[in-house]
Amino acid sequence: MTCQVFTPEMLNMGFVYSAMAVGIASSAIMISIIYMIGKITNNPKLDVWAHDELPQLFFSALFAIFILGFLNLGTMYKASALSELTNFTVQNGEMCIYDYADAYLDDMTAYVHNTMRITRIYNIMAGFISSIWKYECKSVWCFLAGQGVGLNPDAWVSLISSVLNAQAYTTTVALLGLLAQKYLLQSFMNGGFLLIIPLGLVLRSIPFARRVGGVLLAIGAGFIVFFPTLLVIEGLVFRPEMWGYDNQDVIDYLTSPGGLNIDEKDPYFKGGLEWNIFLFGQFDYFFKEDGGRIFLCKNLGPPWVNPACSVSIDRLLAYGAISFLVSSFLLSLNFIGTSAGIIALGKFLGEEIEIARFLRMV
Amino acid sequence: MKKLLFFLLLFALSFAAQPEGWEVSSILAMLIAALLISFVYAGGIAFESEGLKLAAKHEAYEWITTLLMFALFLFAVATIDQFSTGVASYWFPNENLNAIPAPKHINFAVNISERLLSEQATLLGQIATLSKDIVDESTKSFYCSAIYAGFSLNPCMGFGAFSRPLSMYAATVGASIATTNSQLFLLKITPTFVLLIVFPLGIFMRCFAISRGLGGFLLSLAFGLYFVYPLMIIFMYGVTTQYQTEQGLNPTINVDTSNIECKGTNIGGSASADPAYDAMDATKTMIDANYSGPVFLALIKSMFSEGISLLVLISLIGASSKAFGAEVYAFVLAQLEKIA
Repeated sequence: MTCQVFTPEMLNMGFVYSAMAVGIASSAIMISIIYMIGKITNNPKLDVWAHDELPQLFFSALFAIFILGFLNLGTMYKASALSELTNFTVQNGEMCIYDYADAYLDDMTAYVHNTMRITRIYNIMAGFISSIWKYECKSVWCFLAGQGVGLNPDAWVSLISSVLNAQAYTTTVALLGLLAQKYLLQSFMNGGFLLIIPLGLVLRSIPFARRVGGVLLAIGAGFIVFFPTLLVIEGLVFRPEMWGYDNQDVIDYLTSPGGLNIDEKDPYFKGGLEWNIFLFGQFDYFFKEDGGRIFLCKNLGPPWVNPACSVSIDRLLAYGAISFLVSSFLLSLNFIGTSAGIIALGKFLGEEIEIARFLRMV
Repeated sequence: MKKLLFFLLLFALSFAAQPEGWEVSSILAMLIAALLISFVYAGGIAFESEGLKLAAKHEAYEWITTLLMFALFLFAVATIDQFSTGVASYWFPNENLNAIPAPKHINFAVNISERLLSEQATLLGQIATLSKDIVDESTKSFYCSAIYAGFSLNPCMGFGAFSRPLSMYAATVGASIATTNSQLFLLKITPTFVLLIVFPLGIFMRCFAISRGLGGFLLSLAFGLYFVYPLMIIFMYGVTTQYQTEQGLNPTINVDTSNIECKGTNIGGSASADPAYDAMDATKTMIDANYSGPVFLALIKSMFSEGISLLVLISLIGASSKAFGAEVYAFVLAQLEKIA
């Protein structure tokens, strides 16, 4: 199976090869000329410079072969290769690492989005239920005049909004974090391959642009190799469904007719308010505290026993916490790991790369 | 000359990926790295190149360091259960770690997190009940109307003053539950994540110069997550439990507000009690209820403890990464505090 996210065919290799060849040839000519001038003028500085540059030129050519070979290798580098290095069985291991990383980000985006939807539904229901007032006439002359009691019995439910408002914010940040990683992956897989690596290779073959070329190669290789590898490593274990925290069933239950049947898209949602509360004094949806846990429930009709209930608030908070972990927390880990890889690779290529500012910016 | 070494090491990557089992692949990667280093050194002798010899020597030191790390980690994994059982018997005399499966320190930390989660969920439920009892009365209004006119009274509206602090407490306990859940999730995945994936890959990557940065980071992460993070959670639990015992703090709210009742004004001529007296009595009951203590306890047991544990973990990753051969910017992880 080939990569869907990236294929080497996307590269205009003819241009890259010819540009590199021109760069290397012109550098070789320049080095030869300077070497000759050094000999003619008997200038040892020029002589030493030419001696230093010649091996660099040779290594630039070797780097080019390696990097271009590695790009092809990358598309064959499957997630299942990691199971050979570890004791872990990789599901969907036939995918290449780029597709696997992309699919993992998609899965987590769906998870975080589900958490957002559940949080929003709970918040909407809390706001709705907490605003219901009840009036009870205590007089036999109610149709003419009377005295009675009015109260807002479910106003306490508003504290659920206090609990979940922070989660709504956190899951939004988490969703943005995942989308940013997906964008970063896609852009480096496409733009990075098409621009940074070829440009780095060409610049690396030109003596005066070698430093810039080395930096570009290190950054490009870092985001193209280390970043997806980290995502694959996380994708093996950081999956909520593996640890009993799947939330797809929950959102299905909340929205399906067989469950609580909450239509989150209906702006005039009343949930049986009109008739049931008028005839029986009972709103269909309510929050119930049971055994120290708070559930969102729906009455299934008279005699109002055995309501259908969704997950408790503390369970919903667990989904929020995991959404934060799989997005914001791992985003930071990925940047730290990738930057560590880039710095080490940069040193190996002979460049000190100051990536801290870039990370601060991100 | 380093570049030549780089290309030689590259071949090792492809060969070392073959065997099954992470210990075997790690050992094989190290053997291949050793072989390559000796080739480079031999090349240095043959070509009388000091650069090649120096590069080979440098890589030999790194190789020995990796070997030491490998041995140290395996030794630490093998002995952590004995160590944690001994420490727990001293720190928690009432706990029996013998009944907890290995790795004991992680499973004990999981156990602690589950206890905290149960406490905090119960506390949230209690706050909800308390809020329900109060709101029922604070929103109660008594009305009297004729055909054209009427009036409404809300004699216990003052109870509403308790609603805002209760909302704040609920938000705090909610955040504590979320924090404890993230802690629990991290602890649950740690044995699989570290022992089966992060550490083997870390050792493998650290063997080779091109991937030493990422390998070193993975090793420092493995070390921090597997040993330091769970032990810090256990330690902080011990500290906060001791504080709780010393201060006599109760993790639950011990007040019964179910009988609070706001009586109506005596409009209908019935003999209801004086509403002002009832309101004062109920207010006194609520003020006497110590609901800030359990919330404070939940706060220090989860967010404070988790914060300290994470800070230590981050500091350790930052400090140890150099030793493991990586240069990391752990401040990025610390920025998470702002988001959280």
